[in-house]
Formats: sequence, C-alpha cells, structure tokens
Amino acid sequence: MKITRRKFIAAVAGGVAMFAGRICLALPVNYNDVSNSGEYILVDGWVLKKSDVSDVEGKG
Amino acid sequence: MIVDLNELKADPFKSQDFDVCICGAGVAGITLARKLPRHLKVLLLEGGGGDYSLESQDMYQGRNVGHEYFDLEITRLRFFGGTSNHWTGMCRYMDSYDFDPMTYVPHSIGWPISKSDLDPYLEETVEILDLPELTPRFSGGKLWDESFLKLNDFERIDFWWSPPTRFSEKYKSELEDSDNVFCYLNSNVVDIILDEGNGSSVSTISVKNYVGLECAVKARTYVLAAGGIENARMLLNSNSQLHNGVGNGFDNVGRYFSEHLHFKVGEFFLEDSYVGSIKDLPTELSRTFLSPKLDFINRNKCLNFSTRVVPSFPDDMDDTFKQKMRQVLCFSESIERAVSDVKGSPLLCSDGFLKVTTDQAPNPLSRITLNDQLDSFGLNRVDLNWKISDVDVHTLRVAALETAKMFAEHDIGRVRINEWLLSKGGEELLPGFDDLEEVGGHHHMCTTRMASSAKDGVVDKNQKVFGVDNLYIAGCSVFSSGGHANPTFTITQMTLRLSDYLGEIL
Repeated sequence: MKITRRKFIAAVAGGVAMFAGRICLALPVNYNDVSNSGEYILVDGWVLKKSDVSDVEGKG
Repeated sequence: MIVDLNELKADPFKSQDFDVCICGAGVAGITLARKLPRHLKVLLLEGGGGDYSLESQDMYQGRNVGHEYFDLEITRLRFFGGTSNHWTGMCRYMDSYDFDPMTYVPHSIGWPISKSDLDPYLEETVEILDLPELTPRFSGGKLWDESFLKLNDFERIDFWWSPPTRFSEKYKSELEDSDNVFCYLNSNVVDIILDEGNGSSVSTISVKNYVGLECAVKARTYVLAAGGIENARMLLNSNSQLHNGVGNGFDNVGRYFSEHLHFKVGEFFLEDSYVGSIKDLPTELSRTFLSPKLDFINRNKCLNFSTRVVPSFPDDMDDTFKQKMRQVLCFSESIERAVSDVKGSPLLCSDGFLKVTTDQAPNPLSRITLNDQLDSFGLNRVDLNWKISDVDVHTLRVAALETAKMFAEHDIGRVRINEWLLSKGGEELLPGFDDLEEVGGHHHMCTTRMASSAKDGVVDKNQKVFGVDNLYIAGCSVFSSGGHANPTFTITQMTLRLSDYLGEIL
C-alpha cells in the first residue's frame, strides 16, 4: 500500500512531498474510531487502517 | 387508432362503452393497453399530445414546500409516451427483501405481494424495454476478483441499460393499427364520478380537450396510470362527491411520497497496482455497483442501497497526455483550486467518487397535497412536501463508512468521506443542487401505496383502489417501498401482472 498511502497523504496535505508531519498534526483535530474493533480511524475524512497512520507517524 | 381530441367538435365517446379506460399513456398505460386481451375494448387517454407542448406541460406545475427538489414541471413529461421520453434507461428488478416490512422503520408495512409474484413477468419486461439478455454484463475482472470474493456484507450487482426505449416511438404504430385499443390525445381527465348509490364504483370520468370540448367516458373498469404525482392528484381533485377525494377514506392518498436519494458520499484513491495494471479499469469501475446483503441491512438498521463506483480518469488509460495533465493540475491544492475556479466546478483529483442511491423510509408527512392554485381546467395544483427521515441519512452514512472500510480492508484503495456526512444531524446536512448533487432520481413513488388494508394504503394486492370496485392504479405510485433500483423495470412487471388479472376478471 505504499503508493496508495502516498496518494492519500498527498491529498490531505496538498500534494507536496513534505506531508508526514501534517498528517500527524491532523490526528488530534479530527480523529475518530470508525469501527468497534478499532481497526479503522478517520483522519480528515479519510477512512484509514490504523497501520496506515502508524507508518506515517514513524516517518514524521 | 390514435386520435387527437383537439380536432373533434363532438363527443366521440357518446353511446360507447369500453371495457377498460386507461388514464395516462406512459410506460404503464401503453404497456397495459398493449397487453390486455384483444377481445377487450380499451380506451387509452393521454392528457398531452403526440409531442411536447407548453400547454400540456403547464398542468405539471406545482410547488415544492419540503426538501429541495426538482421543479415539478421538469421532473416528468406530459405527452404520449410520458416520462419514457426522457428516461435514461437504467433497469434492475427489486430485491426480494424490498417487499418485506422493516421492523425498525415506522410505517414500514411491506408489500402484500412478493418478488415471486413479479418474477414470471421478467422475460417479457426485458423484451418490452429492449434490454440485453439478463446475464451480467460484467462478470468479474482483475480489480474485484480476489477482494470481492471474500466479502460477506456486500455483493456486486448488475444493472441493465435500455437503449432507452421511447414508448412513443416504439409502440406508436402498433397502437395506430390496433383494432381494440382506441387512443385519444389531448384528453385530460378532470373528474372521476362515482355511482350515486353507495359510491362504491366509478360510473364515468369527465374528459376535456384544450379547446372547450367536455366528454363523459363510460367503461367497466378504469385504470389511473398518470405517474406518481398525478395519480394522487387525480384522486384528490375528484372531490365533487367526497370531500377528501376518491379512494381517500383513510387520508392515505398522496402520503408516503418516496424518492431514491442520490448523493456523492466520498472520493477514493486506488492502490497503484490497480491503476497501472488494468487496461479497462474505467469500464470495470463504472460497471461496479455494490449492494448490502440483508443481514448487513438488519444489523445496521438501515435501508437498502447501492453504491456506485464512478471513475474520474479518462476512458482511455493509455492517453498519457491527459494523465500527465491531471497529475500536474492536481499537484497542489492551490493549483487545484485555481483550476476549479476557472472551470466553475470542482476538479476531482482522486481516482473517482462513490455515489450512493438509497431507499427511503415510508413517511406519512412526505406527501402530495392540493394547493390553492388552479390550472387552466380549474383543477388544483399540488404541493410536494418531500421529507427525508433520519434513517435515510443514516443509510447514506452507513453506506459511505462501510464501503470505505471495505476499500481499506482489501487494500483496494482509500476513501475520503464527504465532510457533511460526518457531522451529527439529519436532513439539514444534505447538500443541494448548488453543490452539484443530483439529490433524487426523478422517481415519484408510493403516493397511492399498496397495502393489505385500507387503513395502511390506497390499493390492494391487485392494484384495485380500496372501496371502489372498478378503479385500479398502475405505475410506481402503488409501490409500498422503493428499494434502491430504478423503478421502470418493476413498473413494467407490475403492469403485466395487472393486465393478466384484469384479463381474468373481465
């Protein structure tokens, strides 16, 4: 999912390469669990797997 | 034969008795006229002419007093062939569970018939609507093979496309040559007169042309087939004997107006291996409709719906120039915004969007009523008070979230859900036409709904109006619920069934 992740991050952050920090900043603002199991989260409207975000946080 | 009543000076119906009088020559009216047994003498009345005219179309003016909706004079057509004259042609039968009541939805009564009652008419409907054979147009593909086979909650469904069939073109010559169907154009039904005894049957109907001729039509049986709004309006306006109109003893006529909500609920990016490796990806995507299984619907206490996956990239994936241009324009938010301003509409930089079509919960307050404005025949025009219930909005939300989770779970891609859908609230959240939303499907359903008893609806399981022995209604005003599928296919099936029934009893 690396390429897809790049795409959605680009969309959230405006299409620039320095995106990782921005998506981390976005988390506290608009962060919701959208499943009972906690497998999916909502970041600025994007329904992501938790693993998507932990990867991004690591890069940030 | 087809005759223009405007061209006649004298009442052509005087001293004539018909077996069946059908009011309205659209999909239902023309189908019924063609399919009734040939030994029956059938009168088919059309309020409009052979082509569009402002004079006829004006009768459809009305007011929207509820949720934002299409102008009532443009959401339907009033001339021979009816709304089939601007039909897009999408077809699908209803799901079996569309006929069942939903225990968690107030006023959901279910249908007094089931899908199996309509299945025998499937093949004939296919022929009438010029559909390709009922095999899936798209049976798998690289995009969905692996991931979708694992799904439990959704299934991929197929729609079929009619050319679309224009009933005015396809069936005009057949009706002109018919020796048992007498079609009169510019023949407007202005009153339904009940017998003077106990009022339990229709004795005549009054018909007017546009140049002052008024006629009385006598038939053994009458069928209203004028569309989801006009069927109710005709009953309500026929109030010279009964204050509430004909068939309205329980005040159900015009209530439960339902549409199919049509909204874009989000956009998506696909995983790159899909984008790069599937040559006919736009085709695969655009033919993909997802629909929930019954267990999912019950578990989520939502309504039936379908999600359409609409690609935003060009049909020709090899067109690298277009692809590169898109990448450049979508590179940054500021460029995207500037292009959108020039274009006058949002530039979609994602790989596509999700569009959801839902059933609506039956709502007695969502209704057609007469207002105080009159048309040129002195008949009251209508107010449409379209209501959208919380469960309707809940269904849009469930559809968006669960489809998005499915995209993530199977690494198909990622979905961004539209902001308005993530807010708390109901009808007030919905975007309108200004936001480039379709809002509805131009489907006017359930205003004379079918029920097991008169207290719950207007017609019985044979589409006969409760309390009136010889008055029937055809078209999607008799739907008890709308499902998510476009209604023309079901209208045609039900009309064929009605034809069989009337053929048996007459």
